[in-house]
Amino acid sequence: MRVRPLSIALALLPLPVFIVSLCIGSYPIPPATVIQMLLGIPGDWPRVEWAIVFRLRMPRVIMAALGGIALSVSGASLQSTFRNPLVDSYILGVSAGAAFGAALGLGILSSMAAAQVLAFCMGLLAFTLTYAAARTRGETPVVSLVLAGIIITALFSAALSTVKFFVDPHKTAEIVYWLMGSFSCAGWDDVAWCMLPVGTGFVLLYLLRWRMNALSMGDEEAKALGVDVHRLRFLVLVASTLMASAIVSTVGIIGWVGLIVPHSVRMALRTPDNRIVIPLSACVGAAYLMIADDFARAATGYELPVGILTTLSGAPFFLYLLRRKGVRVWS
Amino acid sequence: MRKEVVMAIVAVVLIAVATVGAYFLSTWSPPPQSESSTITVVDLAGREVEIPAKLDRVVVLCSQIAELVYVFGEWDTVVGVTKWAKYNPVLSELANFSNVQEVGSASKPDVEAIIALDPQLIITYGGKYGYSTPDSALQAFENVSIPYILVEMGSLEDLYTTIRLMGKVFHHEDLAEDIVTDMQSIINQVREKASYIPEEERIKALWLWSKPTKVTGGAGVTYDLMVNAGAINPASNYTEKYVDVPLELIVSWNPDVLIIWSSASYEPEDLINDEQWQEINAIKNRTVYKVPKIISDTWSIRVCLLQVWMFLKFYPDQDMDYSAIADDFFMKYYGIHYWGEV
Repeated sequence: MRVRPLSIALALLPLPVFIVSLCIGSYPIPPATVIQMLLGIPGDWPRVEWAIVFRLRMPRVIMAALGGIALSVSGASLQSTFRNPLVDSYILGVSAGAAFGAALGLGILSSMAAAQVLAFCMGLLAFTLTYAAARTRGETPVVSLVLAGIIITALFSAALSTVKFFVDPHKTAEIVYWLMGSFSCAGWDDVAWCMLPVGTGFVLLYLLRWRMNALSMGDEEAKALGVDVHRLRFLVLVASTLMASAIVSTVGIIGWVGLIVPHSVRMALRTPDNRIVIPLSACVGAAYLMIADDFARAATGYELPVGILTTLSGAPFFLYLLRRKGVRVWS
Repeated sequence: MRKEVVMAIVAVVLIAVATVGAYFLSTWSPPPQSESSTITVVDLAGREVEIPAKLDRVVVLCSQIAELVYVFGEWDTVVGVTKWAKYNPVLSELANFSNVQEVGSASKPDVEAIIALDPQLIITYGGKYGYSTPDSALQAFENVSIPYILVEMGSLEDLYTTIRLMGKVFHHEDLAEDIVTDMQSIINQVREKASYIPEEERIKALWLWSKPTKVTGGAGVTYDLMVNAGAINPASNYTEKYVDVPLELIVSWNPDVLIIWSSASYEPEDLINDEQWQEINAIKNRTVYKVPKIISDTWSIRVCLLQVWMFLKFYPDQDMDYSAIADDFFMKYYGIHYWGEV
């Protein structure tokens, strides 16, 4: 595997984006002061500026990076495992399950903490139901899994609509806003909540990247290479769902990241090799969501839902990539 | 001769009939107002609505109006009500719901159930908001010739207009005027006291909605209340009623008092214990308050009590007795002592 300059550039991309993101915000703090704080150089900045950088911006930027890593890597892994370029973690019912859980927490229990826990649990439950529904005679065919995902998504979406129908219009607005996805209230406790599942999922998928290459050639070829196809697919699904559920339960539904980033990486580097695509999707995904969140919080005086920005920027970009290069990297 | 006698008898009979007829005509008065007599009112959407002069079957899809109807002593006329009425802190305690059917809500009305109740009038929210009654439902009411009144509450003035309108609809114009006068008097007391607070002593306050970063902008009833109470709302540059702002903007505004919407999914302690909020004066001084449920409704006549409560949270040293004002108001209009938080 030859390491190209572009790969190195993409791998290093999150670092400057991270630093620039820490300098951006509605509270005016000179970038030099931020850098000084980051380097631990003593200075006479006001305490509030320190709090802005380390308590508000840093956990939020890290949360955006974690979100980018989780959604991109899970998307890349699932696309490879399903051999389908249009799959991401949401197709397994995770987002619909999480949305229903959050709606229960916000609309019925009126508790943000309950919403987070319920969203996480319901995301995992939706995936479990999808997997159980698709499994027949000890096997889990890809088509069944996708279809089961669509069915479970529909069921949870209907349950979500039921909750939205019965609660106060103000609560409905709260749920709808949550569904748009936002890092606006992300703090260190959210980073702590997501770190373990996202970290575990990422490490697992990173370790499986070789085997996923075998799987992306087809089940028969993978079996011929000695890969336990069903076990591998199950592990990839669990790891992807764990990562996506943790992120969705914390910041809401942020769409398109799992599609845009892995495809961009594949098309930019002209390879579907997971040894490159998985780690670089993590880096590009982290940078992409950090930049998207910079726009969300600083482009206007408003707190824009980042999920809207990722969709608005992602969909045309995806179209451009498709028109320009097609899906040749998959062939 | 016989002919003259006959003519005289006919004349007497005619005179007698005319006299009796005149007597009856003089004592005749029109029958009592029938169902068909109507009055015309103008609703908050500016529509002229013709409604029966005497109402005894009304559907109310706004819980605050249902409360007002209760205050007017006309609760018996209500046959259908929004499902939120039973969550109204006053109605849930005082009103008898046994003869009143729930018919959905303003935004999601059960149109068939409403029509089945054969109401003479429907009162609901107009406008194009999440809580407004959809056009399709209004069209259905028009199709079966049930008149409806639309209310919209963009400001305190809208609320006063609504109270007066309901006074006219239910023939309690004097009581409606009393309510408006009392509300204005209480709010003006606050305004007057606030007007003496020097500019440099005015506190900065934010009203927080469903999420802590969603705040009241420079419009709406909560904004009016904050201004009346002498607070500076740093988010007043925004023209919207509600606006979601970055948290660090809230930190940079550094408000002295935070007021949390009563139905928010978080408590003052959640913010006080959140390290991201620690640099804000309101957190340092523990001046974070959640509005008590009993005065939470800014579209109810109880909003005047919220005005006093808010003022005293902003300026606790001010000489106003919230308990006494709240108790007087409750006794006068609900016939019961105030039982909420102080």
